Amino acid sequence: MPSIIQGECHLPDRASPRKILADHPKRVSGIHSDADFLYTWGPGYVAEGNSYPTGTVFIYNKQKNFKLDGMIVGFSQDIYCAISTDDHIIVGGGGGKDLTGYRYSVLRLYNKETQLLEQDWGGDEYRVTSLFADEKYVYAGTSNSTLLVHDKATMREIKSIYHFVDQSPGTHIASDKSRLYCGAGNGTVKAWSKETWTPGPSLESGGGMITHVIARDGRVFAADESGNVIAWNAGDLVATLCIHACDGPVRGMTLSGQHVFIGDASGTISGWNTSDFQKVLSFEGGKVAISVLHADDVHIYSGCDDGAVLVWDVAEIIGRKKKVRNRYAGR
Amino acid sequence: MPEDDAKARERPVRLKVLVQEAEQALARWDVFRARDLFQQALAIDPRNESALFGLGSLFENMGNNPPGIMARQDFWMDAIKTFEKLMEVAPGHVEAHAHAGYTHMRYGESAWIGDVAQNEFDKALECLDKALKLDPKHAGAWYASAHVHLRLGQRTDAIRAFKKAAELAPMNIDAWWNLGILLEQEERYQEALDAFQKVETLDPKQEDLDEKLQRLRVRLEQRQGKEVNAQEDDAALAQLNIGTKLLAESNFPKAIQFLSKALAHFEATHNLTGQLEATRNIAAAHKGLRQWEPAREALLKGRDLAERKGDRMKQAEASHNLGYVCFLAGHFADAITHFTESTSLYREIGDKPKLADGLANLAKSYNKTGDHARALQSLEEALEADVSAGNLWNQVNDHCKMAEIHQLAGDIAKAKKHYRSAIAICEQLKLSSKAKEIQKLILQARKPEKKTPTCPRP
Repeated sequence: MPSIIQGECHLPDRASPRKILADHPKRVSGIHSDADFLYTWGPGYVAEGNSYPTGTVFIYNKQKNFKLDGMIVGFSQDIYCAISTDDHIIVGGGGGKDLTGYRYSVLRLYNKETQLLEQDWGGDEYRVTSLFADEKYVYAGTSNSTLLVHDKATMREIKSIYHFVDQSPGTHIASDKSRLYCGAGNGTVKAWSKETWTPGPSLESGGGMITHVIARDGRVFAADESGNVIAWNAGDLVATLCIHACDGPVRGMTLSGQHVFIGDASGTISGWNTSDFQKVLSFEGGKVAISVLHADDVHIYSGCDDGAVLVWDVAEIIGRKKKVRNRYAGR
Repeated sequence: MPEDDAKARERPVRLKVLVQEAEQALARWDVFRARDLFQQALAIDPRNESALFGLGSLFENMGNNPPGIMARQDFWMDAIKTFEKLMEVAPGHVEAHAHAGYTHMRYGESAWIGDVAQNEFDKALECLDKALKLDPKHAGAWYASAHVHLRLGQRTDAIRAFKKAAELAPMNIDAWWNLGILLEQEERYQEALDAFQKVETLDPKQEDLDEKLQRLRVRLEQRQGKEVNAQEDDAALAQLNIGTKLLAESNFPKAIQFLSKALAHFEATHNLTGQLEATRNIAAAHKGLRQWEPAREALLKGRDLAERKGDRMKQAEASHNLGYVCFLAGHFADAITHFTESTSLYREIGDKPKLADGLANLAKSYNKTGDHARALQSLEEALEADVSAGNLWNQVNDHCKMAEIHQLAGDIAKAKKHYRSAIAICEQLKLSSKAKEIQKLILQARKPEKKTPTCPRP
């Protein structure tokens, strides 16, 4: 493993978010986006007195300045993950009890146009903790270390892989053309062949539980609970770079262009160049701890522990670098 | 010889005992024991009608709920054979014909399509027609016959049979439901609405019932409209339908989008029913989002539409919801006005449970404005309505609220009296924890402390 590059130690700058979305009553658990919509989810309660841990996905229209377009309610179940395909929105979760006290999982398929529930595969006593889609398949990682593989076109379950990871407090999945990468609780990233569905080598992070895994442009990035971010070459699985991005666990990690952005428990977002892993900027990404980071080509989205989702313009942030002024107005 | 005579005399007794035992075994779902006993009875008298019918019904039931992994088709075959034997022995046995027909139908359904299914459906119709010739008032035979006609694609006959079945057995929800669906598909909307309204009276909580009633009411008015564009009407109805479903899934923002599109169409086509349905759902969605002002606007519009249409129930509902929204928004005076309006309408309609709800809310609003005397008056009337509606839980709440008001006014004796009445009802409902809670309130009940007057400033 290469030696850890320590980031420059300086106070974060302040920047102005383009928009603050404040619909979540509690912590934001996750963010996903596609060409037209932004999806944010987290725990909350239905307005009219349901005391079960109901999770909600809020859907915003990116073309209409992030106007609230819809909301998918988990009905007595928490929501841990959501993704969208061309035609559908898929939501995973679980953990709540029904009236008989039976805990069950949630894996639901919604029509993307009408946002109506089309199919529900919920059932067994585990939680769907992560969802991921590539060209052919939709992968659902569960709290009992199982990976459910669904055909993307028909959404039929085609495979269940048990003991997908050794320890799985929240299975994190990423994928490239030939492999699936899955982060585990014991600080390893397991690489699976997508052709044979057999496990390949394990990539060691050495910094405790893996909190995020991203595979892009021939590299695999993993962040851990010690604040380290490691990158491996996807071809030979050799670790190329390792940075200590923050003190404490990495709360959010996302890639945008040539930069990897890291969010931490102090509410700071730092940006690192992926070619040499040099820190290029840092700014205050939220008033409280960052709970999740997500990026598309134009925006970075930071979800916070207080339920706020802040939308940042990437070009402005990158262009601004260290010249940012104190204009963050808060929620 | 005397021995044979004795045996001959014993046979009918033995037969009766065996059939009785078999029926008992069947009642406790000991199916194989029941089968053996019926077969023993038939060994004594192969033409015994009770044993044949019992055995046939047993096989039919086993086919419907096969034990373990046994094939249901084998049981149905055995059932059909047994019923056929019974029909030979007793050609006028209505139940034998009806059950044989029903079993043929189930067998055909399991085959789904193809020659086997067609053959079974034909045989089923033959048996059911015979049963209906023998007893034209056999509701079960009409119902089964309707299903067979439906499978054979004979929709007119299916409608006729479902109608007969529903008339002869008016409590058969499925018959009314299926009749409604077929009539709607035939575009006989008024008759379909009547059928679904029957379902509503039997079980108002049937899944999708509200949606069907809503759609049919809108359809009926669309038909009466002058400028009918069928495609646009269908699209608006689909939007109304999706919006209503989204509302049920608590997806309020998306529901508003779809319902607003539907509303725009119904406004353009002057369809009052459509406008009313879309508006009340839009109001409910805004209420879910706690957007009080848009909810109030939609409800006001909905109330006016209901008034124009002469729909007193919907008008009362809108007024009630207006009161609720105003209360939650903190406009208590407006809430009082709307609840007063809704309660007078519910009084007129004679809907006691809703009247009681309205009065309880009216009392809450009076309480908020500090008018405890009127609050008490409303609660007394609410209690009366709850008593006549037989709603015990609401009576507990009414008593508790009245006790609180009396306590505030310093009339502890009356407060305790209401608390005791509430406890008595809790005991009737076996709600011991609630009773204990109220008992504690009795112990704590005392006059509010008078504030010592402060000296006026010189």
